[in-house]
Amino acid sequence: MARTDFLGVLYNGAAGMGFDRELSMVDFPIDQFLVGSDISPVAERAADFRKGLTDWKASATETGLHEPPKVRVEANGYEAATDQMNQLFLRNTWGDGLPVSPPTSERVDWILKGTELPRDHIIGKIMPKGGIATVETIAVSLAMAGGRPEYLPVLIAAVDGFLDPALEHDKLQATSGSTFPVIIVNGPIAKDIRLNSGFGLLGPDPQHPAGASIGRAMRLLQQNVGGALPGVGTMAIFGGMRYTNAVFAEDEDGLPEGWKPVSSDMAGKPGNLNTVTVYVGSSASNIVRRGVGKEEPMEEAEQSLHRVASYLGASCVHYTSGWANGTPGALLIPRPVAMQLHNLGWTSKQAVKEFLWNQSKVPQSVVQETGLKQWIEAASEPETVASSDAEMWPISQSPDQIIVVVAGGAHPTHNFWMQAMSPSVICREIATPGNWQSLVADAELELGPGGDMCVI
Amino acid sequence: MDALEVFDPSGATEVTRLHAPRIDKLDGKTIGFISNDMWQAHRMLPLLREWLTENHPSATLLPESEFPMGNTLMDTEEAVDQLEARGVDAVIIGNAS
Repeated sequence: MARTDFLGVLYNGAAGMGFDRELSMVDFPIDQFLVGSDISPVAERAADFRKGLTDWKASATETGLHEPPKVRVEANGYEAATDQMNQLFLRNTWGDGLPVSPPTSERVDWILKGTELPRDHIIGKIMPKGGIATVETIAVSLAMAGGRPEYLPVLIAAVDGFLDPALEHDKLQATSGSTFPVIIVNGPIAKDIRLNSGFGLLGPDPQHPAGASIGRAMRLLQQNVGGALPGVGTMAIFGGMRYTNAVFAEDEDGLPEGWKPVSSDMAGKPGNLNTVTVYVGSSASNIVRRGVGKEEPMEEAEQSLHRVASYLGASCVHYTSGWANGTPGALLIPRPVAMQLHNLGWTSKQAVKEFLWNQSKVPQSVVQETGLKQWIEAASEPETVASSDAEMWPISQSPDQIIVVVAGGAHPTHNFWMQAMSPSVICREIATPGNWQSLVADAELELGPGGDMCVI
Repeated sequence: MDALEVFDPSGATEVTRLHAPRIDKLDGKTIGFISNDMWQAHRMLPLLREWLTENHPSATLLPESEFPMGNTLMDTEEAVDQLEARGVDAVIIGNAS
């Protein structure tokens, strides 16, 4: 029994489980599934359920692998050919609305210089459709997204992390919640590929093109290989941050003494390792944290953290997904704020987390009044369910689960809260190929000197 | 004339299993119900059961309350094991919305 405009999700689900993209279903419009609805159509169409059990026939009669052939486009001139290719990609729902670069063999081979993995190496299946993400498939998407070879190791690690079963990407791809992967990069590779950690880090930024390109490629994979087509394969009602997802680096030069990088803080990795940390975000809020300038430093710092905590302490149903083992979200703190907090006694990220965790607890009266209690009780993990009666409900099982990232432009006015719907937080090491320095040198020649600059 | 040969970006897919064959009739069969307990399944599945009881009185209908309910619990090997242990011939699942 299914909702008519949910069928795409269900067909994807069938494919993701290894069936052909078909199911025996009886479907109805959305109205029937709402509270207080008229459900008489169920009785009127009851015979269809019987047919589904007795008469329905699957079209697939054999198992096997289906590899799509390459596509050939001919036109008078290269420009006309690329136009036609882009039109074809939109008709086939392979594009995202902006022009894509042609994923020719030449371009894909160039991108593949960014890895030593064989092109047919399988990273995993992207749900709900269950398309197979090989290294080559990933390179194809990166080629379409205007990517470069030196971005490929980050994208491969990010895809691998996104497909970790603990992240439950199958559910998050299809959900009506407008989720998006958040990919935080640590290690020297961030500067090598000029990934943004400062002003405008959520992109796009011509001085730091990597984040938008990697994120766009990830989105194309989610859509084309995973089947997350808006309104058909993903029911994300609003679909936030879809063009570029959220791919950025931590401002490691801005980490105060004692503040660990995200990869160490969340996954215990050595601080100099190249890593991606992946979680699933579901919204983002800019929080004005600075005072008007007449406060004492400690007064301003405490007020700002209380203000941030008040944002975190919302009756947020998405927190229940990550309450036991995931995260409620990531707080982005620009370096001047991190330094100020450090100098005032918050000598570790942990200290900030504990303050926020303690001050963001939701009173039981609010938990009940807003219906959050029922959602907590419907959670998968028993420890989450057991938390539903807490007099002051914490937004995660422990303060450790809040991600604190030092990132953003060097300016003290704002923090940025990227709320999560994420049953886990995944960290993956990034593997660079032996020709890495050569790739970075090529980028320097082709894109100009890297680093933060002001071209005005 | 210029030509571009490009990759299909949707990648490969693999059919690893086929759908179960259909049963020939409902009469005399055991039909299990599985529910995510959302989207009015608590009203719609019982209504469907009423029709089946009336039209196929010899069918045995095992209501959703006798199996794991909810999006997480219904999607487990344990739920499948319980269905098999009860000898069901077919299953009706709701509600996907």
